[in-house]
This record gives sequence, C-alpha cells and structure tokens, in this order.
Amino acid sequence: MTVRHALLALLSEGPKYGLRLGQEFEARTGEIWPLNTGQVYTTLQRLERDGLVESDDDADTGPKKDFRITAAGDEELRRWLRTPGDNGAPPRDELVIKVLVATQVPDVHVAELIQVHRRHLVETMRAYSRLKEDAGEHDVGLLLVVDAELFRLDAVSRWLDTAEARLRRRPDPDAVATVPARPKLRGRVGARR
Amino acid sequence: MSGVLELHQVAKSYGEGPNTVHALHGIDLTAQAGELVAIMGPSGSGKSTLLTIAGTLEVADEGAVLVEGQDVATMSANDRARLRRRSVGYVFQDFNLLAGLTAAENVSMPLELDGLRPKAARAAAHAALDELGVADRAGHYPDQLSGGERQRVAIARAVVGDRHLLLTDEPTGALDSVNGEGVMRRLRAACRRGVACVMVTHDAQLASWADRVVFLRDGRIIDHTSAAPGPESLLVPSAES
Amino acid sequence: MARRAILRWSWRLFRREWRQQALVMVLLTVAVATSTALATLAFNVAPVTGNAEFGTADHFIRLTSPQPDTLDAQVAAAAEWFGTIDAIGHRQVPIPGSVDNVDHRTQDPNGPFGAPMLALVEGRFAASPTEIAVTDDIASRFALSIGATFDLDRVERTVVGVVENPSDLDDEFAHVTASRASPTFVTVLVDAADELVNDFRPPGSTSRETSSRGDVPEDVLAAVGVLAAASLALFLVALVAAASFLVMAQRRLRQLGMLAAIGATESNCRLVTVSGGAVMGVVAALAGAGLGIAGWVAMSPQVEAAAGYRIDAANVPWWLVIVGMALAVVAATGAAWWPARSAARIPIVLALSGRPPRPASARRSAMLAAAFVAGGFACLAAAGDLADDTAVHWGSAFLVVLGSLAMVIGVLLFSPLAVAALARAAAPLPVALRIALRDLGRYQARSGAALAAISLVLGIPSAIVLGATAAQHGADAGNLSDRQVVVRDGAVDGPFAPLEEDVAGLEEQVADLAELLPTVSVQSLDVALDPAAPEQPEFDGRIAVSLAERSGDGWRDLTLLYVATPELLAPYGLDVASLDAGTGFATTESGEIGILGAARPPEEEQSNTDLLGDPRPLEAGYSSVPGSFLTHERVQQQGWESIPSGRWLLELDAPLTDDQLAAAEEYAAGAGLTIESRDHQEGLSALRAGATAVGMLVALGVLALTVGLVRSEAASDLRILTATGATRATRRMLTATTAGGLALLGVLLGTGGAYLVLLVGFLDGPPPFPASQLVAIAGGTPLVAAVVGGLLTGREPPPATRAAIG
Repeated sequence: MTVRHALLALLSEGPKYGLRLGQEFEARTGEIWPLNTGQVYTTLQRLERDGLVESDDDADTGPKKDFRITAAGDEELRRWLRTPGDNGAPPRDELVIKVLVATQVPDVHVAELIQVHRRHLVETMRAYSRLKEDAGEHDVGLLLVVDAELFRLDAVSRWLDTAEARLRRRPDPDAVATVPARPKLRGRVGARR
Repeated sequence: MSGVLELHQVAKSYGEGPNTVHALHGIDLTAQAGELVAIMGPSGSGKSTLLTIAGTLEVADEGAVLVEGQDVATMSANDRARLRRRSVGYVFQDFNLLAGLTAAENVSMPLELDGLRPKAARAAAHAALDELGVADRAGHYPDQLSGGERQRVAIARAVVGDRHLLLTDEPTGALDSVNGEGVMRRLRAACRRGVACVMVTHDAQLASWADRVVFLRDGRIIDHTSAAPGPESLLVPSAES
Repeated sequence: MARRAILRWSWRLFRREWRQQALVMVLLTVAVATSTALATLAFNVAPVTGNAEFGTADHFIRLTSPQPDTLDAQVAAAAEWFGTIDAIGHRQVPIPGSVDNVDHRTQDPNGPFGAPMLALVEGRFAASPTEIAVTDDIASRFALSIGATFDLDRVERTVVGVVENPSDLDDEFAHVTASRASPTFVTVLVDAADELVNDFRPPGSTSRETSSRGDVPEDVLAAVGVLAAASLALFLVALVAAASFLVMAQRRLRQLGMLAAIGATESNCRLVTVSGGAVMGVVAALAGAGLGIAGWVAMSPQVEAAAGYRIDAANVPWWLVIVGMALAVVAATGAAWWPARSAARIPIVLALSGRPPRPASARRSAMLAAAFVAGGFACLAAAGDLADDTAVHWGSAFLVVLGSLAMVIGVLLFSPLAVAALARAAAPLPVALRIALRDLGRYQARSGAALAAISLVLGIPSAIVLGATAAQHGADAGNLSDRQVVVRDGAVDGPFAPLEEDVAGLEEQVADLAELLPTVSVQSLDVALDPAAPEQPEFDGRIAVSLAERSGDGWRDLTLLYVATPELLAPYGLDVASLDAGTGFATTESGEIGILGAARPPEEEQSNTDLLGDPRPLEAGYSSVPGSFLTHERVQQQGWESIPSGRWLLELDAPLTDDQLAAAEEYAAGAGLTIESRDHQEGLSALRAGATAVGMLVALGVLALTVGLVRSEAASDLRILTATGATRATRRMLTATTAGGLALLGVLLGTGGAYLVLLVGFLDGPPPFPASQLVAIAGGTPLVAAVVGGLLTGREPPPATRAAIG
C-alpha cells in the first residue's frame, strides 16, 4: 500500500506536520484503512532521504515539524499517478485454494462450503453498504473506497457462483482422479505477492 | 410478530408428467414492516416465481400466502386485484410505467382503479413522488424521464397510498451503478417509513443493501444471513490526537 | 372512477398510436362507406321492381277490346266496382322498321296509382287532343323537339314535352290525352283484395287478364335485402377490425400485464381494448357514412343506366344510414371484444414477459364451420322446395336469407384452418416463402380474421359476377342465338297472320333483306289456321291458332302454334315422325294450356284444352324461336290449313355484326318489316365488369392493410433476418408471399364459397362460368397482390427502437 505517495499527495497541498498528515489520510479514506503515526514518520523519513520532501532544518523532530514537498517529489507524484498498476501475476488467493482443496478432501460437500463463504461475503458487503447508506451521497472519499471494496467482494462472489456451476457439471466427484494429464503451463501461475 | 408478508410451506410446479418443473419447495418466508429482505439466487432458482406468488400474480400449488394477515388462496381473482391495488406494490427491472400517462397519473393509477376520486388520488401521488425526490417530474411522460427517474416513479407507485408490501425484481438491473445506488437509497428510505420490502436479485451488491438475505437454490431456501452487526465494525478507531 | 382512469389511458394510447391505427381506421371507414353506398343502392334498386307494371297499386286488370265503346264501358264498370282506379289506355303504334312500337298512352299524370310509371322530363304533359309528349329516345329517333309535329298514328299532334317511365327507362311511349286516342287495351290499376279483383266481370267480351304483385310486400323484402347487405358489409368491418385489435392487444400485452399487476381487474383490462374499438368505430362511422353518401351521389347515374329506371340520388334512406352507423360502432366495439377478452385472460406473468400464448387449435373452428355450412345447405335446399311457383312466400324468403348467411359464415370460419393448412404445406418451399407462410400460421387468430375479411371481399363481387352471368343469357339461352334473325311483317301482331294476297310481296322483301346478311337459310314460320273460325274483320290479318294459359278465370295469350318442320324441331332433339307417333302436339309451355283461334260450338268454353290432346313437353330454348308445334299431319287431321305466319327465321353462318344489323334495320324500315336479333344485355355486362374491377380493387386494398397488420409484428424477426444477411429481395419475397398467400386462400374461400352458395341456393341449370372475370378475380388478385406487395416493400426495418417505455 503506497502510503508514501499518498503522503506526497497530501503535502502537495501545502506544508503539514506529521500528525496532521496521519489524521488527514484517515479522514479522507473514510477511516477504513488504518495508519499509525509511527508508520507516518517512518515514511516521511524515507521520503526525506530520497529527496522528495524536506523539512525545516531543525534537528528537533517534534510533532509540529512541518514537511514540504520538493520539486523532485512533485515530479515523482505526478509520475506515480500516471503509472498503471501491476495487473500481471494474480496473487495467491486463499479462498481459491480452499475451494480447490475442498474438491479433493473426502466427505466435504463443496456446495455447502461455497455457501458458507458466500454468506460471509454477503454479510460483509452488507456492512459496507450500510456504511455507504449512512454516509450519504456526498462523502466522495468514503464512497470511492467502499465501492472499491464492494466490487472486490462482488467479484469474489461471482467467482464463487461460477466455481459452483463448474463443479456441478463435473461428471463424478470420484472421477476427478482420472482426469487426464494436462500439458504443463508455460511460466508460473501465481507469484509471490 | 406477524409480518406484512408470510409464506408458509409454499410450493409451485409447472408442467405435467415427466416435464414437471418444481419451481418452489417448502418455502417459509416472513417480511416485517420496515425491513428489506433480499432473495438471492442464480437464474432458475425460482426467485421470480417466489415474487409473483408473494404478489398474488400467481397462485401457489401448496402452502399459505398471507398478505397483511389475509390468506390469498381463498380469494377470487377480483379480490386479489383489490389486494394489489391497496396493499402490494410491484417494481420490475424495466417497463414499469404505462406509456401515455404522466408520472403523476401512473402513480395515482392504483388508487383510481380502487375508486378514489382523481383529486385525492393525484394529491397522494404527488406526495409519493416528493418522497422519492422526483416531484418536479410529475407532469412528464415516461419517455421523457431518465432510467433512474423512471424507477423512482415506479417505486412511488409501489408505495403510494399507505401500502405496506413492496416487491421488486432486479430494480436497478437496467441502470448504471451510480443511478442504481440513488434508487436503492430511496428504496431503503421508503422501507424505513414502514414498508416491508422483498427484493429478488442474483447480484450480491444489490443484495447487500438488504437487512436480511435469503439464499435460494433449486426452489429451496438453503441459507440466510445472520443478524447484521453495525457498520461501525468496519471503521478504524479514530487516530489518537 | 376506475373506468374513468381506464378510459383516460385508452384515449391517451389512441392519441399516441393513432398513426398505427390510422390504417385500420381508413379500412373501417372504407368499409362503412362501401356498406352505406351499397345499402343506399339496394334500397333504391330493390323495391322498384313491379312499379313498372303496377305503379303503386297491387293489382292490374288488362281490358282488351277492338271497340272503343266497349272499352269505355268496361272502364266505367271497373270504376264503379272498385271505387278508385287508375286507367291507362294503350295503343301500340308500330314504328316502321323496328321491333318496337310506340305505345300511345293515355294516362292521368295525377292518377292515384300511376305516378311511378309517368314522369315529366321537360316541357309538360299532353293536355289537349292536339298535344303529345314523347320519351327521349322517340324524340331523338324521329328528330323531334318541343313544338315539332308528330303523327305516327296518323293524327297530327304537337310535341309539348319529354316524358319518361321512371320505373322502366327503356319504355318508349308517347303521352296523349284520352280523346282521339282509341286505345286497343286498357290497364286498370287497382288496390283491392284478390277476391274482389277475381269477381270483377267487365261487360262485353271477356278478354281480360289480371295480375297481382305477390304475397310478400316488396319493401319488406327490400329492407331484408338491405339489412343482409349491410350486415355482410359490417361483418367484413368486424373481421378486419378484429384482426387489427388482436395486433393492438398483442403490442400492448406487456402494459396490460402491468396494469393487472397494479390491481386492474380482468374487466378493467378488457375495457382498454374495447374502448379503443368504440372510438375507432365512432370515427369510422362518421367519416364512412359521409364518404358513402358522397360516393352514392356520384355513382347514381351509372346505377340508373344499369337498372333501367329513374333513381333519385337524394333518396338516401337516412334511418338506414344511421342504423348502419350505429351498427358499425357496435361492430367495431364487438370486434374488439374477443381480442380484449383473450388478451385480458392471458396469465399476468405471461403477459408481463410479452410472450403471446400459443394459438388455439384450428380444428374447433373447422368443426363449427362445417356445422354452419351444413345448416346453410339444409336451409337453402328447403327454401328451394318451398318456392316453386311465382308468388314468393315469407318462409322461403326467410330461409334463403338464413341459409345464405349460414353458408357464408361457415365458409369464413374455415379461415383459421386454411391458414394453418397453408403454413403446414409450406414445408417444401424455399426459406423466404416458408417463413412468411409460417408467420401467418403463428399468428393464427389475426391471420384467420384477415383471411375471412379478404374472402368476404372477394366473395361478394364473385357472387355478383356469377349471378349476373347466370341472369344474362348464356350461350344456350336468350331470345336468339347470335346467328339468328327473326323478320316479321310489321303489319301483323299477336295471334294474327298476314292476308293471303300479301304473302308473296312479303317473301320478296324478306329475300332481299336476307341478302344483306350472311344468310344460310330463310325459313317461313308457318302456323295453323282454322277456316271455320269466326272472322274478326276489325283486326288486321287472319287469326291463327294459338296457345293461351289460364289467368284468373280468363286466358292469356302465350304463343302461336307453329307447323313442325325438321329444322324447327332440330334444336329440341326431335323429328317429325316421332311427334306424329304421339299426339303430334308439342310445346315448351307448361300448366293449363288452352287452344285459341279454333272454331268451337257456342256452348263450349272459349278455348278447348282437350282439342289436341296432351302435348309432348319440350325444354325451352331461345325465347323468340318457335316453341310450340303441331305436325302437318295433325293440322290436316283437324281440317285446318297451314299458312305463313308473316314471320321468317334467318340462319346466318357467322355472328351478326353491328354494321349488318344496322343495314338490315334500315332496309326493314323502308319495307315495313321488323327485325329481332340477339339481346346482348349491356347492362348486365357492365355490372359484371364493374363488380370485377371494384371487387379486385377493394380486395387489394383490404389485402394491403391486412398484410401490413400481419407483418407489422414480424418487424423484430425482420431485423434478425437482415442482420444475418437477408437482402432486400428476401424481404420483398416475404411480403409478396404473405400477400399472395392470403389472396390465394381468399380466392379459394371467397370465390369458391360464392359458387357454392349460388349453386345450392339459387341456380337451376349448369353453373355459370364467366371465364374472363373469374380469371381476373381468381388468378389476377393473388398475382397482383404478390407483385404489388413485393414492389412496395424494400426499406430496411428501422434499427432496434426502444421498446415500450416503462
């Protein structure tokens, strides 16, 4: 989670001190992503080391010390905004592994298992939707973050639906063992996050 | 507490002999005033049939359907029509409104069908449209309204005149997500004012708006969500000062 | 309140969709206009028959006497007997060189019963013995104008006016006043009971005949006929309207479902469609009635010419028109009822999905159809048995109407089956045709209704054409064949033959005339003369033996008794020997036949039915050719003579042309002869041609609208077809096939049905076959429909429009 770029963004509005940076970050992301003060200061130090921010030349690192963005930092910020994310190798997904494993483990009703996870997903999504509802239509920051999470969870829910449908169409659960060998896939699917 | 809608062991089949399709089996469902219940399931799960039976558009083969305490099975077709005029509101995914009537006239139609004088019916219609935030579009025809506005008018018609049961099938299916969200907000608000709302969908995001989600698969209820913890559970404690 | 809300929505829908419904309203309007015009036509045409003979009276008595004093006494006696009479005196003055006479007629223009027979066109009626008024044909023939002198009967008179017989425009006569007219017979019009008429005995000679109009009052017949015509037309209206309402209801199915979902009852949903029907009915009734009356006014001159009597264009039966309009509204509303009901009964869930239910089996309607046809057949057959004499019975008239209606309905009820059958038969056809015909079957209800409409529209002109053809002389009927000419001595008439000394001169003249024509043979038609019969010097010529039939307690002249020759007997398939083997007496006449002109003892009756024994019956052939014969042997047995009758039959080797006829008539005029040739009956020919043309046009119009209706719902299929690469040609084929298929079925049901009804109910002889008109209707309509349908298609269907807004 690129906290450093978020801090750069906040600093591009004007000089701020560390505590304030942390508060603003949380406020603007709907207080969903936790960020502790120590993390803030560590990141700020790294930024200063890299020449992207500067602070008052004061040896005192008190809480009221202002930080400013440099020209290099500004450039870095703009570069980062435009750079697309890494959509390459998919992360190793625990839920996917759970479902795959469940098809092999004897006496496990895969459909029931899927429903368990689905229910949990829906319950989580329900909480997010309530959050959205209570926040009203104008808290854009919160809405953006919540939408992102909802869509992510929704995607998982859809994957569960598809998985269930595929597994339903399997000829025989016990016949999985006799599935003919597949050609090896080039490269590796699944890389370390 | 008895709900606005109660389904007890409802079953419905179509076709005969080897071609029989058992659309619903042993359905038990209750919806209370003020709550939004979502029925979630893939296509073919029977969720649309459940809705049409709950709304008296179809008659169940077995089991009891009670709307505001009245058993639908004992009613004649005209009695069921009266129930739809007075107690039940329907919102479909699209094509809800009658072409040729303005928004206000569409909303007042159920009341006028019930015999209410046009003036009183129109007043009630305007009040409902106001609640849904589309009062300024009262005099427009459906083809002059946007998709979101049309759905809101449809919801207004479904809640006009002190109805307590609102049934809806993919209400935001034809809308983009921002418009859809607007509609769902209004729906929730209408719900809060004392309407029992049953929503049928296959979309998890839509279902997430409900207080309670019931999962339907192959005509049976296989699961339901537990009572919701508050949304606060998702929030981080505020940064210490 | 609920109804008001529904009606409001129905009206809004009408306002929005009026363009789609305009087509149907046009058709409805045209149908109403046609039925209004037809009803007015029937009203004007129907009740007038008989007026030419009876005026407004219900009986007439014809008094004949060569002595004017006797006639006057008889007329006076009639006046005393009956109270109110209208006496019309006739003197037939022959026109040199023509079959026709100029009837010098005395008639009081203000007489109580004679008004329908005498009308003034120009000038005034004859009011003094030196005045005469003539009909227009006589005026042009003799080049008369008002003020000219006319003395055909050798009495000089001044022409003071132009008159006509409005009930028979072909009646050529001259109107004169009573004095110096010396009528030869008088027609006395009376309104009295049958017994009173039969008991009347005029003083002097008992040569009188009576006639009555018949049992059924003619205006009731007229009303029934008009009503039937109007009902048929409105039936057509209802069929087309039903098809369009089916389409309309289908289009609105989803919204109807939504209406039910928000709590409308089934009757509320029905009201939507039914009220739409009512609105259309009202609009069409108003517009249609106006158009119909305008059309009638425009066509009444042609009708007048065809019918042969005066027609007053302003004589519109307003009460009938209003009833017709009301019926039209009822029909349109009624036509909407069945589609409304079937749409409202569709389960709400199905309606909401916009899917139409599968069509009902065509078999049920087919059984119903068979029942109707069988019932109609029975009624018509029974009617035929009842009415076998000239007077018309209430019962048989009713049965005829009922039977015809039943058969028509029966044939029309076969429509859904026909459509379904056509759809099934489409299997081996190329794909475009298959799709079009299957679509017809898929929307069976509306295709069936459309087909019924087209069948009706094709059936009516077919019936008119067939009926006119049957009425018109076929090849074997009529007065003469087109290769025969009858030449008569202009000086003799009726049962009289020329004097002996005149015969040779006449024969010469006939021979000269025969040379003007492509004559093959000249036959003198000889008759029998009883030398012992009393002389009647007041008449020209010698009285020959003739046949008469009973009329009241008197006799009515039928025909002369001709001497049989092989050539004259040939058309009847007989020879002289076989006749001689029997009584030697043969005739085409039937009933109680008396022999006139033969001597008899005074104490016997005037005629003697047993004088010659029983005649051998003959099938009637041409009406102006001898049909009653006595063999030469028999003539001699009776002690009679065989003398020339003053009539000659010319056989030609080629059909008579107009030029030849004109030349012959000119010669005959100068020679004092008269000529008769084949009567071609132009009026009926015009009717046939007109009915064919109008019928086809109307059928094509109805087809255009119904095909539009049927294919309108296929728009989405058309888009799919276009998207998968169908060309314009394919689209043209679809429309052409639909149009042609419907037209073909319509011909089968309509023309075939007309044939069936006419054959069973009305015709005795062989079925008429008006080849050219049948080919035009039966072959031309489907062909033209297909071609025009194909040509008028072409534009691509509009891109997927937003469906019904909700």
